[in-house]
Amino acid sequence: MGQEEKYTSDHPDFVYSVGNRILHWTRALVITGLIITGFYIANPFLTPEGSSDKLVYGQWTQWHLILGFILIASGILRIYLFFFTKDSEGERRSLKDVLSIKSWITQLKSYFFIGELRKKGLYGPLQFITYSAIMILVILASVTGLILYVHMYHQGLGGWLYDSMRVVEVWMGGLATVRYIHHIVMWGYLIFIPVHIYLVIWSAIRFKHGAMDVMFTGYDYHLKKEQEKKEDDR
Amino acid sequence: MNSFDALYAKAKDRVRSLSELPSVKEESVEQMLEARGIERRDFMKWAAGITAMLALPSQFTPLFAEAAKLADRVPLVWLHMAECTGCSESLIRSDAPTIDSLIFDYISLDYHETLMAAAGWQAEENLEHALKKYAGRYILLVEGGVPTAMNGQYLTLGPQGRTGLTVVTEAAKGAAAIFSIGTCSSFGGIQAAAPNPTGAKGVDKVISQPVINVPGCPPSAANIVGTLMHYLLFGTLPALDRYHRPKWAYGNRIHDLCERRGHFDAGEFVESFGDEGAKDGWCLYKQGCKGPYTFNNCSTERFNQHVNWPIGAGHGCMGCSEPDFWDTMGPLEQPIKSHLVMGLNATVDKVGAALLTATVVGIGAHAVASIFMSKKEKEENKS
Repeated sequence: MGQEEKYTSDHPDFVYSVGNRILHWTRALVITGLIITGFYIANPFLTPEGSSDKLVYGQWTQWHLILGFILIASGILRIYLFFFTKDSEGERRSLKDVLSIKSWITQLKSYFFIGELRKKGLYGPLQFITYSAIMILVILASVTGLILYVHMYHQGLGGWLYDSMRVVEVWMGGLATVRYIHHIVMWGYLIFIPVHIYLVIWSAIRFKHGAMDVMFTGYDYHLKKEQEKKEDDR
Repeated sequence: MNSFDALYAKAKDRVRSLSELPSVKEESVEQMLEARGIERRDFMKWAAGITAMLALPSQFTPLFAEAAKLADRVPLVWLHMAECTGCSESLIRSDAPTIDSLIFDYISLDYHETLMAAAGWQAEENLEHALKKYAGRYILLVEGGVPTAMNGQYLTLGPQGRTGLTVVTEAAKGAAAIFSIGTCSSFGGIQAAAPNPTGAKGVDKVISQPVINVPGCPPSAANIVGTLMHYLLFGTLPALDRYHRPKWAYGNRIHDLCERRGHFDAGEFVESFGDEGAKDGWCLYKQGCKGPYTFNNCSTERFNQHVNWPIGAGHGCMGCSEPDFWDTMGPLEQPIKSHLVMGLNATVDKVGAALLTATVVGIGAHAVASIFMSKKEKEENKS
């Protein structure tokens, strides 16, 4: 066909709305806290000296639960924002990339230093799938966490959710398996975090655009595009 | 009518209809107990205890005592499948014959392979006789998993070499109620552990009738008798949880009412068997106690006339009353940290750490490659 393919959103300038940015950093902090407190709950590495009235384990669990509920709330909000707000249009457009094999090849090639990372939406297909998987992990961690929670607090929210959570518990194969799934999900985050940070920095250097500052300001800049523009003007 | 009166009326009706049935024994339960040296006072204390355990108000005690005296109106058939007879042992091995075991021994004589005197063809005849004579009336209690692979040929019983599968299916047809006693008959148990070559399954998986599961390896005598007595008193199934276990016994986790729970919340753990913490009765969570995932009443009911139980004796719970406990709970003396992955000698955390290391190495390699690539591109741009 010879004609160069048109990209509806080649290097967008506006990337993340305020809500999306706040929720991102909430998740980042909360998940970090959950991993640390979760490791303690799985295998308590600190024990108190002497007295039983300092409820050390109880307090670690309490913080884990508080952070867990923040994660659930932020997860629900983020899913809502993704589907129903205009600001997330760039994200939703990435679905087109996911369905295009060409986009997959482009992204994979760009990671091996062959060519630019061009895409129709905000994310490359691999990136989009990874972020979706992380969201699914958030849902999975929330559900398994709630199942474990209702067995600790039988009143209030725990009591209200008890019966429905036990249905899910049986689907998953018993409480021991629920906890096992909860633990494996944590490893999912733990492996995702370094890859995520590395690729943000790497693609900023490689493709000459904003790195972590994008998640603070919401706007991206494109040194290469500006450079090309200057060259064109000349 | 409020719910209390309704329940009371229901139990009363049931006791009346029971008393109209003919006794299957020559001697009444009362006479039997008296002959064995149990006074009425002890009998009433026992009745009050069981009533409380079933979470019924104390007004039910006289009714319950009535029902217990009529226990000889309900014939029992007890079958043994793939098992170790530990559940029967749990019931009959007590320091002294308890009222539970006396009543049970007395009424269960219709067919119980361990307790009956008959053997061979005679035993077979007894079973056929019981199933025919009491059709639609008897309670079927099954102990042991049912092997289903190779048409159930992994378990054959009696002189005719019938498979356990056929015996259970036939006996279930005419049963008024079916109880799975023990983890094996409830969920398959140890012989159902992966890879389960005999295809062992719980009774509820091989028959179509509703089954009450009373799991445990073994379940305490109180849970067996309590389930039986509940049926005797009401003639209906008790409130059941998602795994068809009676809620009055399996509604809470071991952990919820554990005597060492305070030490758990305080973060005081036994670090190795025999250390100072172990001597002080600290929490056994780090020694692999599975109490937090196990639903049972061991922490309040205990075993052997309420004398003691595993956690009381200084070893963690192994989750024996949970489905697939052999696969999901092991290794028994270590917490999740050491949970084996798919039978390999690796744990979740080991696999996780290995993947994380691989990730970091991958990132490093990619970063180094990036430096060389950018140098190369710069040179190309220059030239």
